[in-house]
Amino acid sequence: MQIKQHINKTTLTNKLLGWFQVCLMLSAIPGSMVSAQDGLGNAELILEYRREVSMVSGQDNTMRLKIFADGRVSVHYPAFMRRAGEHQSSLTAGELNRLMASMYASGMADFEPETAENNIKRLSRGSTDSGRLRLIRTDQDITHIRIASDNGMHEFAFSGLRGKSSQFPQLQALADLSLAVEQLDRLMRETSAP
Amino acid sequence: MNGWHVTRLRIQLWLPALLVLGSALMTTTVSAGVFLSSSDGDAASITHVSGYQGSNQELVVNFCIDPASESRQSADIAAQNVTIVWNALQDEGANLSTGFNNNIPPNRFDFESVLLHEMGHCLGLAHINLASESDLSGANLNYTQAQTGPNGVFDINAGPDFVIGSADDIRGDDINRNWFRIIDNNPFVAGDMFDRRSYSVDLADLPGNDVFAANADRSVGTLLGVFATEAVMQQGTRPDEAQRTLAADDVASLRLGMAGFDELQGTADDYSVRINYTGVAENCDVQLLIAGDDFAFCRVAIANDVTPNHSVIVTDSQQFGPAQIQIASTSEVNWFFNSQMLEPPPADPGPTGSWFNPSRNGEGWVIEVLNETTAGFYWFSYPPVGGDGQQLWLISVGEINGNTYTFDNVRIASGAVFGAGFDPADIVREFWGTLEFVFSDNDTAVVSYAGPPEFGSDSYNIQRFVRLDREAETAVLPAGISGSWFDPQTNGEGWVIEVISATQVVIYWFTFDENGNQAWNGGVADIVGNTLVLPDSRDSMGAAFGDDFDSNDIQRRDFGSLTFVFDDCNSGSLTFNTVRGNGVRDIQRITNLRGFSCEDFSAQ
Repeated sequence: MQIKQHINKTTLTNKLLGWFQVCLMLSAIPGSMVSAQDGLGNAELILEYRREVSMVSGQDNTMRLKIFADGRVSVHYPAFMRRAGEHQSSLTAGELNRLMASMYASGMADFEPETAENNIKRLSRGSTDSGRLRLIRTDQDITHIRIASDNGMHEFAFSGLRGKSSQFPQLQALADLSLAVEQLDRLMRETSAP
Repeated sequence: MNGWHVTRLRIQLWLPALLVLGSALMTTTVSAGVFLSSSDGDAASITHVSGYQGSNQELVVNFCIDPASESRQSADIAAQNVTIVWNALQDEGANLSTGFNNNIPPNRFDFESVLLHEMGHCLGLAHINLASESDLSGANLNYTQAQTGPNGVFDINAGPDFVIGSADDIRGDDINRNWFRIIDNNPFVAGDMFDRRSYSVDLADLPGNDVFAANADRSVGTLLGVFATEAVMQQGTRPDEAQRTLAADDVASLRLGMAGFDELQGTADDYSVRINYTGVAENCDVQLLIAGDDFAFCRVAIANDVTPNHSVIVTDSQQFGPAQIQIASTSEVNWFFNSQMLEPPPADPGPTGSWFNPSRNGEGWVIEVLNETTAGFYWFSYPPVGGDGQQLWLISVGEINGNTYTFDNVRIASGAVFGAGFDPADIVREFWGTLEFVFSDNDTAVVSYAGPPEFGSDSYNIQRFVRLDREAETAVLPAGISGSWFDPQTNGEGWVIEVISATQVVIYWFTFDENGNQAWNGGVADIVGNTLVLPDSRDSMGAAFGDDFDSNDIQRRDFGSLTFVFDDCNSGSLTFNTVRGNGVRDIQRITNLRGFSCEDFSAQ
């Protein structure tokens, strides 16, 4: 299963790389870059990451990152944040390839939140013994992911990724996902940098 | 003492004392809540504040701003206000304000409101609504907090009233976690008892036709005719919205925990909680860090099931460290920092006042609470059979630990003579023994003592007979003149003043007789301008200490007149005309009582 997944990811990554070789050629002519991007406005969405701020209610409470197959990056920050608004950037083919390879390597496209939660419950079971310490982290954000996979878009939501991954470092899938999401957070910040 | 107790005090002291007591009992607060430890285990689990071990005590939670924090100065007022609000533990009614009703600019989030919520978590409280931990979204988050039942999913149906979180929600096999008031399941209505006799998580205890526990969500409030009110522990805050005071539900939740392991209010394992804000510091129980891009959270360790269904927050574990509130950096979120500082409420004066044992009418104890950790007392009594003199008083300053006041160094003095011949150098002060008060509440206690062999040891049930009135609005003198006073020239004798109403004070004079033996007298004086007039101070004699005490032995006599004139809060004079002599004393304050403030007044 793992071998098959690896092959599938590699295939997908190669497909994406092909797309970006085209993009790269277009972007070599600065004047045509914008129109090329405009022309690729319907490019395939290959990854969407949303972070829902659970403490905020009654208004838009979600940061959003969209990455398209053509390298276009779209970022949205809600009004209460310093970076509020829509931001755009573009990844080179190489950057996109590396980023997506990293995402697939993290297991994001196969992540099953139910499995992770069951593992957390299993590990937590001992901590409910009398007197045993357990850590609680409140008001955790909800991470939403949609990522292209061989079976279409793999989509899931997971509450408290940061807290749970630091609390249960032995859960490799959670740690890997958390690191991958940190990369996406960085990309959002870079895209929205003044 | 009760020469004056039996006569004037019984009429004039008991009435105001009872009135004050009555008004204290009428201070009502409310309803239900959820605890952190119920999240993964028993729905009825209660989480207690750090340091709780099952005994009656004041638990102090040290709270500070992490030195590594951004915006430390901006956050300082918010941290102080949050401390005041949680310490006051009062339901302030409508606690939501928006638009022109608050000082928050549009699109900004109120840092103080968010901090108030997170502090609730770090005190052990959980969300009253399903919130984000349920993995639900949108309005469904507002359903009452619960665990999934056997079907493994949350059953959510707003019921006939279409209001989410209300008493008619149809929740299938969901297991309720929200403590509700048994009598009416109304989280916005006042009650006066916060324990398992009044609150439950068991849906079988719901009143009438209610089918699920209601939560203190604003929509539920509107449904019940309570507007602009929501529990602070409801997850979710909005831009341009201030929620800087507690709702009934928040108060009730913490008070429910304060009923202790036995979940019964008024028993020996009850506790109180006091947050002690120490500014920018390290090594406190709850640390505020402003950094990063997580909007806000509390991270706290809990020792599970210390006793069945009861967990306790742990803030000193090597594994997890202190509790931490983390709030996003100002470079990430448009915070609004409130610059309006709340006036700290006066501290609880606690048992300050006069106490006696009804079966030993004629002796008593004067207790002065000086601060959170220190108290003093005077015990006015009689010498043991065969002892010197006809009266006796003991004095000490000791430690407060929860409901227990311990005095390890009770002193007895003798040697000076009354009046003009008083010389402080004549006084001999000796160690007498130890004494301890254990208070059941603000009006009943047990006093235990161990003195020299001729005094022995014993314990008595005692009750309050003088309650000071710190709100007393006298014409000139503030209630803050209450306390102990002395004249440096006659160091060794002193006066205790207890303002009990706008017009009256209780006065004690602890001194010596003409032979150097201990003596005391006192009475109820009238307040006239800046003067206290006691025309008939009385003393008592004839009884003996300990087992030989008999109220019927007491003979009371008029001792003379005392007139105090105050120049300000800290100085004045006493003119006395007594059976032992006349004179004048220039008096100075020696104690300031906790919970009493004295602002300077102009002598008239």
